[in-house]
Amino acid sequence: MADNEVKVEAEVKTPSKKKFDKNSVIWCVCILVIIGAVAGALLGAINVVTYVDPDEAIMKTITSNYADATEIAKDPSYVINGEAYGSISSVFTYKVNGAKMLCYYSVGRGAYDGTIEILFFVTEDGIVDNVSVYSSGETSAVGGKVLKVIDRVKGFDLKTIENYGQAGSADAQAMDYYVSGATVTTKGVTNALRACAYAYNKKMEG
Amino acid sequence: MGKSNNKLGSVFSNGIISSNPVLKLVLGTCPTLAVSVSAFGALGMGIAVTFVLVCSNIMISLLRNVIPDKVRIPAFILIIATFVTLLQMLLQKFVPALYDVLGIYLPLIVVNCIILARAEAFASQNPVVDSALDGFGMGLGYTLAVLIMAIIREFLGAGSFFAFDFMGFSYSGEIGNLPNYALNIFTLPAGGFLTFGILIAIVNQISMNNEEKKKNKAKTDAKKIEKAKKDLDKEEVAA
Repeated sequence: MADNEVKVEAEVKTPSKKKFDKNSVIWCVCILVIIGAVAGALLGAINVVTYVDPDEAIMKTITSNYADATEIAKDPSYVINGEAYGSISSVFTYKVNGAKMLCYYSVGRGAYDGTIEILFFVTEDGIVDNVSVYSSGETSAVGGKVLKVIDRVKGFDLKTIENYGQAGSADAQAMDYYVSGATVTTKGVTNALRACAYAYNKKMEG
Repeated sequence: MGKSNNKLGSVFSNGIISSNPVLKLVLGTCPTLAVSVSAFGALGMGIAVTFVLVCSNIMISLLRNVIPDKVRIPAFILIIATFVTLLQMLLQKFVPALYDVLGIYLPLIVVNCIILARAEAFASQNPVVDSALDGFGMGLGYTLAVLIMAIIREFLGAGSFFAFDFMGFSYSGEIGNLPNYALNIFTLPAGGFLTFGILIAIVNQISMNNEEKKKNKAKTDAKKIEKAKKDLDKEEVAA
C-alpha cells in the first residue's frame, strides 16, 4: 500500500516530458525568413522599376496644367510650416507667360484615411488659380466629391483665409466650398488650404 | 480525362455560383459595401482581388508541402501581403487613375477574408492547377457580386450607369434627367446594406428553387424507375 502511494506521488510530481522541439522551431523560423526575404527582394526590385520621384511628378503635373510653364524650380525658401492642421512638403516656382506662379505641395490632415495631398497652383498675388489632388486615400465615391471640393477652392484669395479655424465637422459645413456628404474630405482640403495660406502669408510678411 | 475536366470545371464554377464568396458565404462584406458605390470602382476592385487570389493560391499551393503547419497563417499573410503590395506599386505607377479610385481598400485586400479563407481551406490542400482555378472562380464570383451591387447602387443613388474617368477617357454615364431624382441613400452605407440584403435574399430564393426542382426531379426519376421495375416484374410473372 505504502509503495503504491509513493508511486502515485512520483507520477504527480514528474512534469510531463513534452519535448521542446528545437528543430521544428528553427525550421518554422527559417521558412518564414526565407519567404520574407524572397518577398522583400521581389518588392525591392519592383520598387526600383515603379519608383516615382515626387519632384518629377509635381513638375509633370505643373506642365500638364500649364503647357506654357517655364523656369520650373524647387524653392525651399517658400516652405514654411506652422500649426498642426497640415504641412507644406515643397514649393515650386515657375513662370507662365512671364508671370510668376507658385505650386504648393500641401498635406492636409483629417481626411478620410488621415491625410490628403494637394497641389495648389497660386498666382504671385495669392489667388488659387488651380488645384490638383496629388494623392488621397478616398474611395471612388468620395474621390468624386474631392474633385467637387477642390473645384470650389479655385479662385480663393490666400490672403483672406489665414484666419480659418481648424475645420472640424461643423466648421467644414460652414465653408463656402463644403460639399454635402464629403464633410471629412472638406476638412482635409480645408487643412491643406490653410497650411498653404499660412506658408504664403508668412513668406509675404517676410 | 472527362472526369478530371468535370472536376476542374466544378472547382471553377463553385466560386461563381454555389459558393459565391459574397452572396452565399457572406465573406469580405466590408470592402464590398464600401466599393460598390460605383460600377467602375467595383470592377477595378474585383480585378485586383482576382489577381491577388489567383497569385496567392498558386504560391501557397506550390509551397504547401514546405510551409510548417504551425506557422501556416503568418506564412499565408506574408505571401498575400507581398502580392497586394506588388499590385499596389504597379497600379500606382502604371494605372494611377485606378489606384486613386480604389484608395484605402487596395492595401486592405491583405486582410480580405475571402483570400485568407481560400488559402486555408483550398490552396494549402490542393494541387496548383486546382488552386489557380479556385482562385479565378472565387475572384470572378466576387467581381460579379460586387459589380451587380455597384450597378444597382450607382443607378439608384447617382442616376448614372458605369460612370468613369480613366486614362484620359471619361464618361458621365448620366441617364437623361435621372440624376435629379437620385435616391442618395443608396450611395450611403444604409443603401449598401439594403441592396446587399435584397441580393442575398434573391440568390437564396433562386438556389432554394433549384434545390426543390432537383429534389422533385429525383423523386419523379425514382418513381419512374420503380414503375419500370414493377412492369418488368409483371412481365416476368406473366412470362
